[in-house]
Parts: sequence; structure tokens; C-alpha cells
Amino acid sequence: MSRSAPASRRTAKTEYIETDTGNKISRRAHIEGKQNIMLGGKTVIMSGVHLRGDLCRKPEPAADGEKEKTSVTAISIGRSTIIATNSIIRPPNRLHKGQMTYIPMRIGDNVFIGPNCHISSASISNHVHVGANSVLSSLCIIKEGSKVLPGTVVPPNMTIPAGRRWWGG
Amino acid sequence: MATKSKRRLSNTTTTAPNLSAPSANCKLHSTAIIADKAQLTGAHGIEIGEGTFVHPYARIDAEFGRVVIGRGCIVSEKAVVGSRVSRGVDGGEDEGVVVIGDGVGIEAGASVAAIRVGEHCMIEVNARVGAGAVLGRWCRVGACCVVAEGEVLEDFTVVFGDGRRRIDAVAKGREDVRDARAKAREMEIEVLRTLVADGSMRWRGG
Amino acid sequence: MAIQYPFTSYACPCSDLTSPPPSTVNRRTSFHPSAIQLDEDQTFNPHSPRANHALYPLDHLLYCDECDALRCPRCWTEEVLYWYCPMCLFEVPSSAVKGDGNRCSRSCYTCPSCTSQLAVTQITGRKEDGDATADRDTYILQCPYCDWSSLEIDLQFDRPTKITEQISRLRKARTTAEQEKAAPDAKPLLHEDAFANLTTFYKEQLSDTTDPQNPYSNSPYSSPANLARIMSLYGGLPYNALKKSKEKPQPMREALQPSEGLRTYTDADSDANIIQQMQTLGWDRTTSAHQRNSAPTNDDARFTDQLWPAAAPLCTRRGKRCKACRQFLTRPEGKVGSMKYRIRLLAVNHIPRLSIRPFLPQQQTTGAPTTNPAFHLRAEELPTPELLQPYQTKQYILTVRNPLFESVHISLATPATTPGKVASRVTILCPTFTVGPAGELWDDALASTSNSSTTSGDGGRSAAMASLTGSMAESSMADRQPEAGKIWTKTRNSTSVVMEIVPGSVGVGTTRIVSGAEEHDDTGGAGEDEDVLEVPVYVRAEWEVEVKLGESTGKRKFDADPGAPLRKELGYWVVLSVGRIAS
Repeated sequence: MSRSAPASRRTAKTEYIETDTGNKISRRAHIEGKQNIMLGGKTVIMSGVHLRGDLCRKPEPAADGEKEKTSVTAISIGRSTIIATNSIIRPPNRLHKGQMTYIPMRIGDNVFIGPNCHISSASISNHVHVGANSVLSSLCIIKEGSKVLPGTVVPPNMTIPAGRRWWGG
Repeated sequence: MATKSKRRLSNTTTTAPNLSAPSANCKLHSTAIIADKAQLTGAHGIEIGEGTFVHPYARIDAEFGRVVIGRGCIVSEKAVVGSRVSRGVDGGEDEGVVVIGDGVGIEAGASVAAIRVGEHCMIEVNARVGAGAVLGRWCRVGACCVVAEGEVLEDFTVVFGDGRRRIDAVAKGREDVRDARAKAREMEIEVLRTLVADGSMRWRGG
Repeated sequence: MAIQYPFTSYACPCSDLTSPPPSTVNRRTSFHPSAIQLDEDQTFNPHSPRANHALYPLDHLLYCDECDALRCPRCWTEEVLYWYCPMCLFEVPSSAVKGDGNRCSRSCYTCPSCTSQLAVTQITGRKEDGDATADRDTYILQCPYCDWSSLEIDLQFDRPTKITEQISRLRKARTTAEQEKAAPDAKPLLHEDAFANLTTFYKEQLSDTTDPQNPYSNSPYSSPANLARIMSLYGGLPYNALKKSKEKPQPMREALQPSEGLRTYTDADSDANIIQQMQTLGWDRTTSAHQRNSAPTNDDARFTDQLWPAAAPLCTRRGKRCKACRQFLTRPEGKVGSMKYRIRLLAVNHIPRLSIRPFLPQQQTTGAPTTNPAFHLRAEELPTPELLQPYQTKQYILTVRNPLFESVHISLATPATTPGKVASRVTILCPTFTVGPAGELWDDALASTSNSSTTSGDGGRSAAMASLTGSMAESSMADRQPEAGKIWTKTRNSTSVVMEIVPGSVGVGTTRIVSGAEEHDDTGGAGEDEDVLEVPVYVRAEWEVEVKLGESTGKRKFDADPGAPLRKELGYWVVLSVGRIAS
């Protein structure tokens, strides 16, 4: 959202705010840490969606003389992706070298995430379809063109190969 | 049933965060972090222990009974802690009381109405623990799993898949495994402390 | 998921139900609906019990351009192009698959308890084991979903890599120790060993069909290699000649000893013991059939604490060939994770597509957006399906969309009353028409922008309408009525016609006009889904293709002069599922 905020058209009080790049974000979406969220353009964030951009990898302490990096990307979402109502997008965390860190999450282009989903994947590739009420647990990887049917629980660390349909849980 | 409860959730989260200020008998530990947008409601009072972390949009509902959350717990967004019905031990004074032990993790969208949740339990995404249930120590309720009303889970029970149950013999038998898990929870809270601002002043302001 | 009416499905010609297309008369241009009614056998009956096996959504069908026909999953064969592991996404060469079986030999294991993917987890060494192991890290496999870990079967690894090697080593060590503990005469063979023994035994049997009863069976001469060596040592006939001299091959014998892979019942674990264990451990601790079949190591596991992690079964990527002419219908690129195709002959790109939607005079310009239930955005949004009222005429717009680059002449034929228990009356107001050619995607965009300067609002469609119906004013559009023999709307590559349907009554069986035609489903009351109004439509598409010189025309139906346009014709049954009739 770093590209978005200032030039949004606020002529009429509509449900959606449209950004320069054509992202549409519902006013009723719950967005935390918006400086850490990147939207690719023409992406729709519907009402009641939670985006947890505040859960990011801590920026490294600035080296001497360098300016401290203020923003890191926690969630990056590609172009023309739809995140339907009441879904939660939350970057996963894990122990890495004895330290708990939040892993940046990447969602590709043309991804559809249905209503009431919980997404903690490490990455979701392009053209993925996630049905309603699914839970993608932390650090799972969904490859290109896969389809997760409604109500599926994808366990942590699971990899779903490209072009597969996945259900159960 | 599932959609019904979700609908209720979504309705409440879209309304203003502080529906009704909890009464003065709230006891929030000074090191507990309660995010600004968390919701603490109900007249029966809420007790939150040392170092516990409450995410934004989490809801702690003491409308039907007191809610006690122990030390080092995490309550995630859209999780609801609190009994929706006045059901408790023998209909006595414990009616609607929810007690959460130390080091419990309650994931996003879960709803916990149990009388007691033992220490170091893990309640995963969208899981539901019915009113009056009792969870022992080190239990784990998997994503979207349901613990029925009034059900009692013994220590180290894992609820997963289509409501299957098993006893986690490893955690039962090995202290080091348990320690590692408890440590991971502590570290997560440690990181969260640096990332999310404390908004608990509003609740303790009193 | 609930089915959303209306939808269309296409019948594959491989089914018995789809009769051969009614006589391929060249110049036959029109079908009167009653013409087909005369021959009841030729009408596709969507309510026939076997119809479901012939009907597919168009997206599931392929098209063989050699045979000029639709191809369904029953008329293509699949061919494995490569194997890969679904967890680590590495390709496994076919030689490795043949040698090591279809399991990943890297560190990919699934949880025996819940089948999710196991993670290699590091645990720091315990102090209690003494000084030597105090600081050594060990690794375990842990399930992040149900908390199963390899510690449950006391399995720990020294290194986080080469798990397969470590597991097989540990398992071997453990099983041999167990076997030594057990009585020497009652050694139950483990599944893997039995399998290995059996394979070697049968391989030997195949390569060498010597008589098992031969006098040398207990001597060093029993092995053919030994025998050959000895024969050559002592001269005489070479072994091969000896073998040839045998009059007929001996029948293969079966395994007789454990060393050959024979497994017999042993009461090493006595039944009483097992039953007692079952009683104490309970149902939850016994293994399910799924768990026992998850891996060869779990084949004998009776209780959950005997389960070993299962190596990930490999996945395949397959190409599809036409069964008739063996050409590839689809052939994906040979790279793991790539969704690109080298060959992909989809039916969608080769045959005109039919779609149906209710005729709504108010919304005729925009049309009700057809909602795909997979893409609904709010959980509470799902509309309840509207039921059709019996004997109430409803109009539908039937749209034929042409994916071909030539303009296609379409003839639609439908029985006047639908087959099945509930007879509904169907009339297509304009059964023959032409559909324009498809173009590149941007053609549509260009056409609509150039039109929008002259016409307001709807662009291409209204322009096409205006040209079709004479210069019709925009205002008169609203109260335009469907007319027989007239096309409703037309765009560049699609044409819509109006269809009138009078649903029959579900309860009353006497409304059927042709009685006794379907004796086979005389089961009395309306069967399952008999109340679904399904209209079979026979679509005949005819078009002309420019034949390039040198192209073989032998397989074509018509012998055309080279250079002259080649006439192509395609007929197929489409079933329009309109909706459920209220009873």
C-alpha cells in the first residue's frame, strides 16, 4: 500500500477506496501495518479482510552511518487478485537459527481467495483458487494453478504441486 | 452451525471495537500486551496474566462469566474467548466462567468457551471448544476441529482431522520436548512485543 | 457444492447412448423439431441411467483433430511423461522409479497418523545421557499438524539429511535384533524382506525354468550359473544346449521357503496377546486400513505405536492420447511445476459452445451475470435455486458461441417433448442460423470501440442488432418480442436465439405425449433427478475450410477438389439442464 494511499480518489464515500494502480480496498477491511503491504494493482481486498502487515521480519539494526530501513515487506500480493470477505492473511512465523521470525508472505497474480479463509502460507503462486472456509496453515506452499476446494485444511509445511486439486482436512 | 457462528463473528468485528467497557474488576497484568483494537467486553471482569499477548480484533467476552487468562498466552485475531451461555460447574457460582491456563495459544478465529483450558494447550485456527468443556494440559485442538460442549479431554490429547483423538505420548514422556514447545511460545510473544504496540492503557485506565 | 442451473453438458460420441448422427446428408440444412421425433431411438435421453457416464462439461472434453471427434476420459489413454515428488518437487527418473519403487528417496516423509508432511526438526541433546552426547544435536521427524514425532517409535537421526538411508539402517538394525530375540524356528518374515525374497525368487524363476524336482535341487548344481560353470569345466554339452534339449518348459513353481519369500502364519504374537493389548489400548490406538496401506513398513502394524513414517508416494504428469489414432491430445511440458502445454486440443477451442440463460426482458441488454459458485464472495450470498412451475411457458436465450476462425452454419434439433418421465415441451424459435468467425482477442475490443462512437452504451451488440433487425430505435428495444424464425441477438462470433419451454408436471405421468417409448424405466414414481428439466439438443455445425495444397484429404468425409473449400461437418448432442420443476 506504499504506492497507494495519497492519491486515492475520495470523491464519494463508497465502500471501496481505489488506488493509483487500480487496487480496490474496502473501507471495512482491517489492515494492520499498511507500510509493509504491497499490492500489485487491480487487486481487490473485500470487507472484513484482515491483513497483518505488522507481523514482519524485524529490520536488521542499522549499521553505522546507514539510514535505518523503515519498511520491510510482510505481505506482497500480485495483480488482479481477489481476497473475499472475512479472510485473514497473516504471515507465518518460525524458528530460524534459534530466533523466531516472521516470514514474508507472497501471493501471486490472479489468485482468488474465498470468504472466511485463513491464510498463513509462505507463498501462493499465480492463478491459485482457494475455496471458502479453507485454512492454509503456516509455511505451506501452493504452486501455480492449484485449486484448494472449500473447507480444506492444508497442514503446515505442506507443498501443493502445480495444477493440483486439493481437499480434505 | 459453523457458518452461523462465523456470521456472528463477522458482525461483531465490524462494529466499533469497544462495545461496552468492562467493569472495574478487570485485572490486567502490567506486562500483558493488549492491542489497541482488541475487544474486551462484559461485566463479569477479565483477568489477564503476566506477559500474555492479545492480538488486534481478538475478543474476550465476559458477558456471561468471568474470563481468566493465565501467563504467557497468545490470543489471535478474531478469536473469541468467553462463554456464550451460562453453563458451568453445577450451575453454581462458576457459571459461564472461562479459565485459561498458562502458555496457551489460541489461534485466529477459534472460539473458546471451555470452563478450563489447561496450561500449554494449543487451540488452532477456527477450532471451537464448546461451553463447559475441560481441556487438560498440553492438549492440541487442530484447525477447524470441534470439542463438544461439556467434553473432557485428558492431558496431552490431540484432536485432529475429522475429530480423531490421540494421546501425544512423546510430549507426555519427554520434558525436553515440552520445554522446546513452551520456549517457542515464549519466543513468539517476545517477537510480537516488538511488533505490536500495547493498547492496554485504555482498559486499565479505569 | 450445489449445482447452479442452468448449465450445459456435452455427450461424447463414444457412448452407446449417442446414436450415430442422423444420416449425413450433405445439404441437409433444416431440422424440423418433429423430424427427429419420428425416430425416438435416436434422441439422446438425458434421464437414461447411463446418461451420466456420457455427459461432460465442455471443459472436460478434448478434441481429436485427426479423427474430427470429441474425446472424453473413456476415449483417451494416458501416458506417464515423468514422475516427481509432490513434496520436494524433484523429478525422479523412470529408472529410479523402476528400481526403488514409486516413493521419494529424499527426505520426504508423511505422518503415519494424519498423512501430512513431516518436518525434520532439531532437538538439542539431552544432558542425562552422559557427557559424550551432551552437546550433540539430534534430529527427528515431526508432524506439524498432529504433533506425531518419530520419537514415538524412538527414532532419532544424527544428520538432518539422507533421512531415507538412516531410516532403513535403523529399521534393519531393529528388526534383526527383534528377530534374534524371537524363537529361531518361528521367525515371521517382515514385509520388505518377504517382498525382496519373492522378487528375487520370481526373477530366478523367470530366467530359469529348470525343473524344481530335479535331482540336483539340493546340491550346488541347483543354480543355473553353477551348473553352467560346471558343465563347461567338464566339457560335454554346453549348458545352453542342454537347456534347449529339454522338450517343454517346466511350469513355474511357487515359493516354498521363507528364503524364497514364503510367509506363513506364525503365532509369534499370540492372538490372546493381541486381544489383550487391544483391550487395554482401545480402538484409537489400533491402526486403520489406510494407515497400514500407507507404506510397506506399516503393513504389519497392528497398533499406532508400530507405525513408521511413510515415504512420499510420487506423482506423475501424464499426456493423453486419442485411443483411435494414438495422436497426443494433450502433452504438458516436461518440466516439474510448469503448467505449459506443448499440445493441447481442447474441445472448447474446436466446437461451438452452447449456453442458456433465462430470457429477462428488462435486462436484455446486460443479461443476468452468470455467477460461478466457486467464486462467490460472501458466504451468505448463495441464492436458493428457483423452481420451474409446470405448464408455465418460460423463454430462454440460447447462445451459440463459435471458437473457430470460419463462420459456421448451425442447425439445432430438439425433440418437441423432452424424453424421460416428465415430458416438457420445447421449441427453438430459430433452429438454423450462422455464427460468425472467432477472431483474435483484441478484435472484440477494436470492434466495440469503433462501434461505441456511433451507438451509445452497449456497443457491438446493439450495433449488430440494429443491422440485423433494420434500423431499430433504441426505445423500441425494450418491448421487442421474440419472433419465430428470427435470431435474437448476434455478435461477431456468437448468435443467440430464443427458446420456449413449457415444463411438464412432475406428479402426473399422463402428460407424456409419446407413451410407452421408455419401457426400460418403468419403475413407477419419479426417480432421482426426474424433476430436472433437461433438454437434449442435437447440434450440427457445418463450415468450410480452405484446403492448403498438399494436405491430405483422405480422412475427410468428402472428396473435394484440391484447392476448393473443404466442407466440414460436426454433429453432437448437448444437454441443457434448465432447472428443477416444482412438484
